[in-house]
Amino acid sequence: MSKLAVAVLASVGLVGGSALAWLPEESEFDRLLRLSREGAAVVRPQAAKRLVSLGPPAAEGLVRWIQEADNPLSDLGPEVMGVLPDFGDPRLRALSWKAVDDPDFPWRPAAVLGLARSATPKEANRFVEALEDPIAKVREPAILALERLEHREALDSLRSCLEDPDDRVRRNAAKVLTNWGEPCAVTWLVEELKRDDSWFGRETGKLARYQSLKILENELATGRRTFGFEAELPWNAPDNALAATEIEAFLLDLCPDPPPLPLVARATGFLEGNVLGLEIRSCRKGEFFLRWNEKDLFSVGRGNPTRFELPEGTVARLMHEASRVLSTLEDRKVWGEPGCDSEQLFYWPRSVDRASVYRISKGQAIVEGLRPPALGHLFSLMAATVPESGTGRLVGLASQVRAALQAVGGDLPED
Amino acid sequence: MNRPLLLSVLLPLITAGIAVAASSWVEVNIMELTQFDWEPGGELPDSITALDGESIEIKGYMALDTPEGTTTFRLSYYECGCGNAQPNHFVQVDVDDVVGYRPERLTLRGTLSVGEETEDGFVVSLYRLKAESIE
Repeated sequence: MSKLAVAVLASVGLVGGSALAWLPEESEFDRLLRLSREGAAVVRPQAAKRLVSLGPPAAEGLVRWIQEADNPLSDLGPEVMGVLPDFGDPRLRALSWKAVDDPDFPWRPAAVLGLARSATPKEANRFVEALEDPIAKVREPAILALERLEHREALDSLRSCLEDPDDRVRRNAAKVLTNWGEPCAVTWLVEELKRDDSWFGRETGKLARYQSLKILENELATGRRTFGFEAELPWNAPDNALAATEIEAFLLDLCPDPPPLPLVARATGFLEGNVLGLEIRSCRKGEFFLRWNEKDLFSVGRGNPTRFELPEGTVARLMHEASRVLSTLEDRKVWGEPGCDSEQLFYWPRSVDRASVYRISKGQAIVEGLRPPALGHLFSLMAATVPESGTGRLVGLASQVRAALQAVGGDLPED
Repeated sequence: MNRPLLLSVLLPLITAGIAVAASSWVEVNIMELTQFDWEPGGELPDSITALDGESIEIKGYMALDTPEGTTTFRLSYYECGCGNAQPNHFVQVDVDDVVGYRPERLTLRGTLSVGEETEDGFVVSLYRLKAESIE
């Protein structure tokens, strides 16, 4: 009788305790692997760490689980992928790199993060290559790996990261460059303290202030120099006035001739008039933050986004269609289960005080029919307004957006 | 009758003392609760342990994996796309009436308890809120 069958029979009272006692006990390895893959969100990372503490027998167990039982590597889930290199077993490390090298592998960020914690000098160039990855959450740990390795041959690549559209990547590059003797990179971190931007009511600027302050306080070789700055408050708040002055003086002392910041790294405040937004997070295709403004401006990115002008009337037409489409959804706003991919629509007519949010999400497997056809139609219209021509990481933006939408909710209809 | 409702009934009737009653909800910034490094067994700052048992008001976002028809969910400072949750990155919320995932920022009032709660040897929460109201 299978364990499942006994458990079912026990639950309806057909077998008693003596039959349950007959069941073989789950080994600690099996228990921790199960919890790492399928436990509650808060338990999974802790269980994965404990799995590592079981040492070589657990490493052997994982190799068997993957190779002999022929389970797909991705079925380990992000938490186990994130600790595979911690076992110190070359076979598991090789599997982590195999995952990183596969653009269709869903947990590449976790795999790189795990590898970064124990980066070896022989791997330095692979981490330099990862700085060019389309997924920001892969680029970010690659920087930390190069820091750990003190791989100063990567200086130029790290300097390029100061122009990255993702603020996490820029902050980490600034931290490493500062610690490697380029104090003017602190300018990027101080600029983050000046941010007060938001994303449809979400305080992205405040979050950046907290994260930058954490680096400035704890992770710089220059020592703790934040002078009581309160990340909760904007840079120009009266309670931050004194700290802001002292931080500026400190910065000038470190870097008498501050470099001009690229546009993407410059602090900005609240951008008025954004009425439609699409936030796409694909574990395979990366993240996209797209906004349409009532003045026919399209912007991509958070913080200080890159802006493009759209033909007059474009956004009014999109809003008209959005209003029609959303009224057909009968108040439903959430589809699917989270895990790997999500796309969120933000709809914010000027007549209401906050945006309505509609979310579609899924795990690593394709889910047929996930996106309601009405939203598919709207997303297709929105995607058609995304410019294809950009610079840097925005080259081929429209194609990238369509690929990400396809990865999350399936093909868009041809409108 | 819960406290916010009680206040709304009394507001038109009395003027004096309302500020005292309204301010009895200690406003807690979820960023302050969640922006420090912590390991299981580690100490919490005094300013945070002092909030244990307080009636608080707190703003945040439901975790993405909140199912429909639940009476418990994680509240975090920002709606992240990750399933991975560190105990010091969220407040575990308990409500009386069932709720489902709501993507917008929420304001909650209730009683906060602070300290490690473990199940099966794992820390499952550091902060718990018995919510009386959600807006």
